[in-house]
Amino acid sequence: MKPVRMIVAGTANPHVMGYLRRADQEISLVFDAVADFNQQRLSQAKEVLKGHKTQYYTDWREMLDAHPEADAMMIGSDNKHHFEMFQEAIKRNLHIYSMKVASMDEDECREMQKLAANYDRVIQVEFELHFSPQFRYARKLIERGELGEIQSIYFTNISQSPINYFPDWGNPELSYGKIIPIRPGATIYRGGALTDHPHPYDMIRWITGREFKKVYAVSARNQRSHLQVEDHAAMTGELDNGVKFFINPSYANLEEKVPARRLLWPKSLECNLKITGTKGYYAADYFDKHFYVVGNNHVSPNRLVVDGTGRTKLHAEDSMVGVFVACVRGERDRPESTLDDSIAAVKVMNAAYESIYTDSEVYVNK
Amino acid sequence: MSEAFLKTLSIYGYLPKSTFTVNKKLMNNTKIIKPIEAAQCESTGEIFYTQYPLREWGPVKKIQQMIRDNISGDLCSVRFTWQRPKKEATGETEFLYETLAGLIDVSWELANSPLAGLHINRMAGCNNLFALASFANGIVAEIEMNECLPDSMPPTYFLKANFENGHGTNQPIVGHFNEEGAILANDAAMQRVVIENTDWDDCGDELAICHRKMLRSIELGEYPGGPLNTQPIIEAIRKVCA
Repeated sequence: MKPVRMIVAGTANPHVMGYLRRADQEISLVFDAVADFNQQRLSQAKEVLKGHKTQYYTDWREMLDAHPEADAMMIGSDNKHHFEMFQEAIKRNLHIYSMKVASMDEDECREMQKLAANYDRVIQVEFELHFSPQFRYARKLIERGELGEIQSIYFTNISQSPINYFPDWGNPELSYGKIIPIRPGATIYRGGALTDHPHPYDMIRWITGREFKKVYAVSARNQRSHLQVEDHAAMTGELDNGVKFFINPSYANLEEKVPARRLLWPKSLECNLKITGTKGYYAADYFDKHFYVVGNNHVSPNRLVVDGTGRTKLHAEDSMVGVFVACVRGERDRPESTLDDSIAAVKVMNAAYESIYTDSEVYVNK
Repeated sequence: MSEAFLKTLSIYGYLPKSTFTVNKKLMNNTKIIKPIEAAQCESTGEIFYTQYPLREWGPVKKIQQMIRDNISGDLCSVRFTWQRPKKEATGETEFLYETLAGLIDVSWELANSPLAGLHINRMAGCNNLFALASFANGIVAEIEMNECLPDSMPPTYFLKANFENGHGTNQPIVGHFNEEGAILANDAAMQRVVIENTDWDDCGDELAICHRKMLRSIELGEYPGGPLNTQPIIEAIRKVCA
């Protein structure tokens, strides 16, 4: 079957490089072109795709003009540019594969929803944790009522910050879209860990089937004094059925202060889920099939690192790309995670920012 | 000293029975009072001690030492996990005004700065809450307190401290108990389930999953045929065991 021809608008999101690295194994996708205004990032993409026939551009609009054969566009730029790329992709009738924050600007989000309302192409927003079987299992447990009535849910999404090795990372305007201090008078701005970790809101909605009602959030002093955006946030609140939640979306696992992705804390990502119900309890870890590695040629050399042991994919649709391709080919009705899912997460994230700013509880849908 | 306090001391394991016998004699005349009572005490000059056993908790002591020795720079945030099965749950007053108060007290000690804000999100009718405490110097304490675990589960008490240049914790790096798999528990039993794929979640056992994976590899033609290295392996075992 013919592969989906993809062009990539921006490589600011570190996940984009992950897709490009897997280009050799991904037979259902072909990357025709990559654009990035940042030469350093574009050079990284060229290096990763060495040997492929991919073409490169510094202007994403020029790339669009030069590739009328493209079926789909990956929106991987800084969040600030997502909206204009989204508009342009719609104008050109392309399928859209967007990195996970549609836009932090809720006016733009509403506009995107209007544009998407009668659009006959696929729009998928990347929420890859839907494909972690231990989290899918949590959803099943709740659907089957095995945990009883849910009382509380806890989700952490803690990583390192790519600040030292990813160009333009930590720029508040590029990340959040505008410059807003985290608290009145602060010199730390929105656009850090909270903006970068939309999974908890999406996962809690997806697992419980409920919406967020209200949130109270705090942000501690930054661990990284050179970072302009917040690197810590923690919040608690209530879902629309009264279930209490706790979320930590932080860069609270430190990286080495070198211009490369090197872990200091041995675990790159903490995604811990804990659900307490009247009949039972479930706890899952992103690395629940863990493996410890030390190696002098490892990306984090000579350091004990926690890795995973992989998962068995039984179907092509056991991955974000598989689902997207299946939707493009008409083999599946809707993507696993949608624009609406992303915007629902953005609303909670902005409510959390407002809560930090005002030091008060904030209702998500005011 | 109250029975509840004795129980708490033994839970933390820093007061062996024999030591306690001695201490009991020594402390007969020492006034130790609960935080809720201490909060009402006016300064009369009478000497008393406020009961905050968590000040002596190993991880707290260790983090204090890290701060004193400047091991990882300045402290930024701490996260507490306090979980117990229902059968070990305390009364509401103890839960709020001794345990939670104790966790805030040690957070304050670690932050070395006055409490600036406290938000508590409680589940009605049970000992289950999330709390966020902010201190004047920008340090935040995240507190998860849950005494509603199924009775089949053991208690867990963790503390993670995040510094400018490092971390300190007794929290497992992987999993709920530093073990393979997810945890699924009800009052009758607790199990560790390893979920390889949603379609195989009836399985939950790592070795059964390996068997399924082997069958799948054979089906896909990825598994090598023939006796493999079997002959010398079996021969070697026979030589030793026959």
